[in-house]
Amino acid sequence: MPIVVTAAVVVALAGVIVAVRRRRRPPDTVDAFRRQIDALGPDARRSVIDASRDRAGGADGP
Amino acid sequence: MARDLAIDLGTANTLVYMKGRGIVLNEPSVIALNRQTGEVLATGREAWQMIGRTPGYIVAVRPLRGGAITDFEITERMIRLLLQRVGVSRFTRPKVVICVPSAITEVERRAVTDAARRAGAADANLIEQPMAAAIGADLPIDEPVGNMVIDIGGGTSETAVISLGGIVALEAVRVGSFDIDAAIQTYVRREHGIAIGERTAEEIKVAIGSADPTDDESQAEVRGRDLMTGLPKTVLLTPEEIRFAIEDVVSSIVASVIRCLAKAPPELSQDFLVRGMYLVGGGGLLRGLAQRIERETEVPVRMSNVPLEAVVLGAGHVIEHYDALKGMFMGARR
Repeated sequence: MPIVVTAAVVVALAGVIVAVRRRRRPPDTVDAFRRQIDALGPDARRSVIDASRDRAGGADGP
Repeated sequence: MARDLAIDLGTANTLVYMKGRGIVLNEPSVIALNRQTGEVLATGREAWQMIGRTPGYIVAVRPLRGGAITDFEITERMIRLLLQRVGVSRFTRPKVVICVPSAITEVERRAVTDAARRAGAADANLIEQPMAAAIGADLPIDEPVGNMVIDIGGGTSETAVISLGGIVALEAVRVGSFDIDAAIQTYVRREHGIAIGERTAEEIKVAIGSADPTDDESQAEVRGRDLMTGLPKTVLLTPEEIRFAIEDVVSSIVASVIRCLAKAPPELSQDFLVRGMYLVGGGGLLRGLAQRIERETEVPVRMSNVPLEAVVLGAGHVIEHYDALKGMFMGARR
């Protein structure tokens, strides 16, 4: 029984340590920038802009 | 579950984009109130029709001037009514992205976000109008090239150079198409001795206003109140007169575009000669304006094919990709 309790405490502590370390890790700015650029790209723009272009009557260019 | 919203809270018009649905509301930013009780009588188009035509106890006002909130309480009520109209209730609290002029002060910024939160938004973030306009105009701002956008609204005119998802150079003036209307009102009063309302001034601008001579010019008959006799009077206005009347406003807008061009890094400047500048916003529809900017800057000017909706569509794109683009919110980069 004490072994089970000790193991549970160790696992819980390890979980807490992992969670704290993950929270302290600096944000991955390169990844965030990449995601931002991808979200501004033509593929991502398609859904919003194409819908509006259809409404505008399909004129040329931006 | 509420659908998240993007709002272009303009001096002239307010547009609302709903995630997954597109533009769900496009109305003048006007609210009509009972002066005595403070009750809201109408908003949007209905309130706009009341401007200058109300009995003494009703007032139809634009709560934003120069892109800034002039009356916090009325703006909050207007936003609350707008959100209610698109289905936001006490139980459905959406995330909201609001487009504001880039030159907005910290106090004005807080006023807008507070107004949206009090009106029912779970979270309210701001995005600069020229950035939203560039996204909405479908410019390739994800690439390392110079994209220049000129957004001429009702109360502000902003020019921005954007590259790699960020603003590189920016120039903003608190001058817009309402100042053009005011200049026409002043001219007609001074030169012809008649008083006209702001709606009539706007109609004159749309009918014969231009920033540069154009091929299809005609005169316009204008009715107003004679300042001497108090009687209704009709006068004939020419396009040359209107160009003269609005010259100061137009020059101020063109000068801000030139200042922005001067701020741009040389590597991006050369891109403008090939790619041109893009004009968005209702003020950009003034006849001859693109031609005038082109003549004075020697850079090609192109009109966006969605000039009135570009800003809200750009903000709509941000709400569709909220997690990836939340770094673009005002304050997020500082």
